[in-house]
Amino acid sequence: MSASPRPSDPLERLRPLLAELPGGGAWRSQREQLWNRLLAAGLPTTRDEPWKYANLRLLARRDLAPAAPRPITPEALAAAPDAAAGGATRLIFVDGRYQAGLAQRLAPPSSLQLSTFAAVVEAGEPDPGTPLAGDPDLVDERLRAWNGAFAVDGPVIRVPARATPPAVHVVHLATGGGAYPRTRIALEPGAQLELVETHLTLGAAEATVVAATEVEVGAGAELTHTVLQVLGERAVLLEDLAVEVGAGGHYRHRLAALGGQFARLDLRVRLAAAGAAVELAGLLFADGQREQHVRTLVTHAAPRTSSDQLYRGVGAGRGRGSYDGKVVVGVGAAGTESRQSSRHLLIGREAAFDSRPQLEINADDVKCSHGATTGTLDPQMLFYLLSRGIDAETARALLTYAFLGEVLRRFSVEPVRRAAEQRVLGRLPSAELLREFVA
Amino acid sequence: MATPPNQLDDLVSQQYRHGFVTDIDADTLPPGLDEDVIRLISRKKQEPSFLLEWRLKAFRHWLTMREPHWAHVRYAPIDYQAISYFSAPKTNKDGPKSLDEVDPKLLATYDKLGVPLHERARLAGVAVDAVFDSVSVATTFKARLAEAGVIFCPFSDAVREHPELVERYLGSVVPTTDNFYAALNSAVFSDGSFVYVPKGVRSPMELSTYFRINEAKTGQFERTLIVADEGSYVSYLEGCSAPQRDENQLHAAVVELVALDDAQIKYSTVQNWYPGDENGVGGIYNFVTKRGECRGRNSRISWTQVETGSAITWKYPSCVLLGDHSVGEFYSVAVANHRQQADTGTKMIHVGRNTRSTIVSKGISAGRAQNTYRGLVKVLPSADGARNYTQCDSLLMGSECGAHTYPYVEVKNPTATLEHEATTSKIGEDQLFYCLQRGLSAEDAINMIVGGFCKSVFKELPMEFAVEAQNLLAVSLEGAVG
Repeated sequence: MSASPRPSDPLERLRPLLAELPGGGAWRSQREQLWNRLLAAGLPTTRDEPWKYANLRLLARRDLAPAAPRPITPEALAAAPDAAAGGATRLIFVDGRYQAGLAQRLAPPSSLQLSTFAAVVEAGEPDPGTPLAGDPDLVDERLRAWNGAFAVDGPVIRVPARATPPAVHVVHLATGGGAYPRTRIALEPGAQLELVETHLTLGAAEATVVAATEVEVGAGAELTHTVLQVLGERAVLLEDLAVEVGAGGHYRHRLAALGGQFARLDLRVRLAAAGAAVELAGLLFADGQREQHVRTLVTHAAPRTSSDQLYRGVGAGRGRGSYDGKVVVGVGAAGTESRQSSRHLLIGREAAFDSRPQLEINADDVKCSHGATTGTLDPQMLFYLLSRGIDAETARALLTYAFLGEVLRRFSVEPVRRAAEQRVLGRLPSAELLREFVA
Repeated sequence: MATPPNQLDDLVSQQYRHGFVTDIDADTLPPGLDEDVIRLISRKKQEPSFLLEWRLKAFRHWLTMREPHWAHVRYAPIDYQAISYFSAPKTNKDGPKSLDEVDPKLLATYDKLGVPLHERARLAGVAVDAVFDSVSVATTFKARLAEAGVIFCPFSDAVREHPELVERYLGSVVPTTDNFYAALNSAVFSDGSFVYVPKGVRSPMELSTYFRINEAKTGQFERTLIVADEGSYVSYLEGCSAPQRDENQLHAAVVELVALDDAQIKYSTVQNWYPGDENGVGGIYNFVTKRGECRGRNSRISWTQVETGSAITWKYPSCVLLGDHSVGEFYSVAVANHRQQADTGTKMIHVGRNTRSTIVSKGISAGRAQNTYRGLVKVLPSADGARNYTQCDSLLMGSECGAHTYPYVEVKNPTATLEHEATTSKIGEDQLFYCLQRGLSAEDAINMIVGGFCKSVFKELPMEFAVEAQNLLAVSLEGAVG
């Protein structure tokens, strides 16, 4: 094993900036508390089991100071799909700060309560959420602590009981330097929401985004959360997403991880009450020298809960990626059903993919399974296409596209699915020909 | 369930059948470990200087290491200075040449275990190198093996008679610095088995060793080394049982296998050490390092294990597939009942081209036991065309036990194909109902269903072992029906 980098150094550089952040009293002491705990724990290294496959040493040479506000023209957002069909609300955050001038179509407040952390802080109100989920040793929550210390803004979305507002589209644009968006989404009992998030970079900016999101799905509520990550080649995204699902609630997460230099999502879902369900699906596209990592932790803490995970990864060029998924079935979570499927396709000579589909089961009335495969394209399928007169390069591209289709089909927001499809096609050889095939 | 309550009580309260202590005058060092103890062990065993140096180097490295705690097991801290590191039956001084010369008490111990040594040896045609505590006391069929050119002897004899082979291969698969327990074993190992199968020889019989832990407070530090030269074949059987104790006993063995071109090694284990009582008191701590290296082309190493004993199991028999077209296999049944904790699995490291590996692991948890499969399949950039198939299934019996799966799949070559599947479930009510309805007792029904669950592993065992394993499984799961 190579020597670990000195991970705390980037934090040392940030320390003096903490005092300049807004918010007084309780907010300041919360920031300091989180920061001190992070300093004591240090940034994760590959020696920390949850970070075995994702090396953060690239942070050492990056500018992590929160980016200064800068004016943005609507053209900078052209890459974001227009998920506005049906009168969706679109919120723009630049380097983690809300841009009121760029927002579109605010829904009537009766079906949607929108605010921002900046507004909460300015009004001197208490934190609407909890920055940490309560891990006493901070083993898994160091990025949350980092975000919590530096976040100055981010969407705060609440859907009242039984409301079904039009979709909400949150666009995160990073322009260079550090960005620390913090998002809180709460669905009261019986509410429904379709939420789309897009992560973009301004040009080829060297941006580092450390994001934290808290999601609360109330009893019988339903949230579909679709994420399109199309960051530029020099961007880093580290996101921690913690979800709690109440009785009979349903949470769906769809991820298209297509961009960035290094991206990692830590997704933690707690099925807290009977009948709660979660469906996770994601595609990880690691071409060039890109790294795409996903770690999921699903905790079945109540009876009759169900979870379903489907992840597909492609390693091309010198791309690298990992899927690290853990399902924990707690004592008393009888009638649990859990499925995990992770498959990775390696098409680059120097590409690599790691997977770790783990099960921790402490109850006997359960049905749990996982399947994981890693390999190359099926030679028989390839032969079939070649025998139909399709050239080898196109045939391989077509099969790669088909491999990801299983995930793409689960994207329910049409414009996002199309945008993801076009991005995938654009990255494959013979893109024009492929578009004809799949049109 | 239909079983009358008093019958169930009988089953639940059944004692560990192999729990007894043979009273033999043993030559035991006082507890504690330092360089002098290692020098003493080495001197007592009349070892050449290279081995003493090797032991000391391992000990010095061990002092810098920390005990690993990543496994999914919990136990009270071990005081390594409270353990005696050498124990030899005094009767060994004259060196028995045949079974007739062996202490009758010792033979009686084997009888109680249901292993009538000479009978078994004669009927089954098996050579037995019996290890009683730390020094081997009987070796049979040596002549027949010698005729074929196979060396099968206690490790300490091999050190004296074949130092060149020992020096060449010892620590070449599991280096002294490998892990905490392997380093400790390298420093203080007492005895074990040594096997060398020369070029082109197919071992005329299956080689078998029965281990026993006997002397109170003595840890056992076995060292086994098996070398299969080009084109040879050997099947090795290891079986274990220990007397009942209230004090936890440490066992840190190291097994090294080397397979050269076209060689094949089949290593089978039935492990039935004292698991502690139903409250988790006593029982063996089993921290074992087992690794095989397929060094040659077309070589093959196969691990088959049936683990029913020990309070704590920490064991990952592994294969390093260096040679092109080499094959690694791991078949395992791990049963944990009462308060047993097992963290076991394998590692398959693919280095050579077109290397293949298969992993089939069956875990059964009952009572309040914790059973963990932990496995690594790693494909390095050089391993073009590597293939792996992994299947790990868990069966849960009771609402207080745990079954965990931690597979690591690391692929750095795009031409590799890896498949991993895992399932966890309990015995279906409908399956049980079907059997009961056909007139089977609940106990028999469970045994039958569990037997079916484990069949794909049992069929890999040599026949006499397969029968024993099946019985062992039934005994281990007694009291688990609910």
